[in-house]
Amino acid sequence: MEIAQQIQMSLLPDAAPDIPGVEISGRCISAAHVGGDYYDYFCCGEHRCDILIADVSGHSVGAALIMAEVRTLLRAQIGAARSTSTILQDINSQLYEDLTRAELFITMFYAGYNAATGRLSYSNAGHNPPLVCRSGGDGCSELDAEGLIIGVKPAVLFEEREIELQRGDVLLLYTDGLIEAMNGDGEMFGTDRVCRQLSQVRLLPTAEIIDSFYRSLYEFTGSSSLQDDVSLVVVRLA
Amino acid sequence: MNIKHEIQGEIRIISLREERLDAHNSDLLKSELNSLFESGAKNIVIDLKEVRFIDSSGLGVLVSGFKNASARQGSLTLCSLQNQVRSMFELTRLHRVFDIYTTIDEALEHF
Repeated sequence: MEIAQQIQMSLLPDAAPDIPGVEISGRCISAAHVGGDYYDYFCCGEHRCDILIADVSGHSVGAALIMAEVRTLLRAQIGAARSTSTILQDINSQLYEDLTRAELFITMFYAGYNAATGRLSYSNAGHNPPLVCRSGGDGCSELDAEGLIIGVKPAVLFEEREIELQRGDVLLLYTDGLIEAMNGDGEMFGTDRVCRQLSQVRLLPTAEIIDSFYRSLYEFTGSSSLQDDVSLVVVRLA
Repeated sequence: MNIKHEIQGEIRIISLREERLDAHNSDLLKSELNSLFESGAKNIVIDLKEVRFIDSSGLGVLVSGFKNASARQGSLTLCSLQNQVRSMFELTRLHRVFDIYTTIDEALEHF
């Protein structure tokens, strides 16, 4: 399990990409029972920044190795300027056989942000929909798009959607460990609690927004360790 | 893992008597399914009536059972999903892959 954890942690980005006007932070805190969380961000050209979050099912070295394969495939296509739906479609067809053999699957949300136009296009392979908290509004909304999890069928089409982001908008990408964390009464942390908190802390620096969520999780569960991996990526347009 | 087995003709019915299907017990369901497939079973109905919570490990076992049954020209269908379980199927869009029925009887009618 320690090996899986070491592989997992070594694959996560250690610094945010340098895109003017975009502040990004990401963190993964592993549970004792390691999962297959993965997030990444990379820039292609002057204006495009890709951001993704994924969860490989299972808790094993196998899941960590699949994660390494995902990362290699994704990084190999940086700069190819392909649509988010095509990227997910290719990942699914490239990994289908390996995932079937390993009896695993992947959920993944993939977004491409164009800093020149302010447009964020995104596709989703059955991952928890990220939340967006708009600078002008109250509350937050989910970024969801149609798409099956990766590794179930050899060929899958993914919907691609787009929103225009504005200064001050905050995005939260997360893995299921956040909303499924349970307290002593068997109650889950849940999406509503995440939404309320995001609205309250959205003006903080992105790294502090992440701190605040981990603090709330520890308070909620009354434990100093997590039941499952929890990964969070926060993006703010400055 | 507490499981009730029934046989209706060529159909095997597995009723999970557990509140959770997660990382702690999904391997046991996997072994059960594998031994059913090895004994020649192709058509399986899994009754999830008592399962209140499922995580990605639980889903993984059902997906692999589904693929295994399909590869043998059989089927793995599900019935009696509680709310959280149904939400997980909707989130992952697996509700469009599996045949899901309200009761065991309804599932059996579709064979």
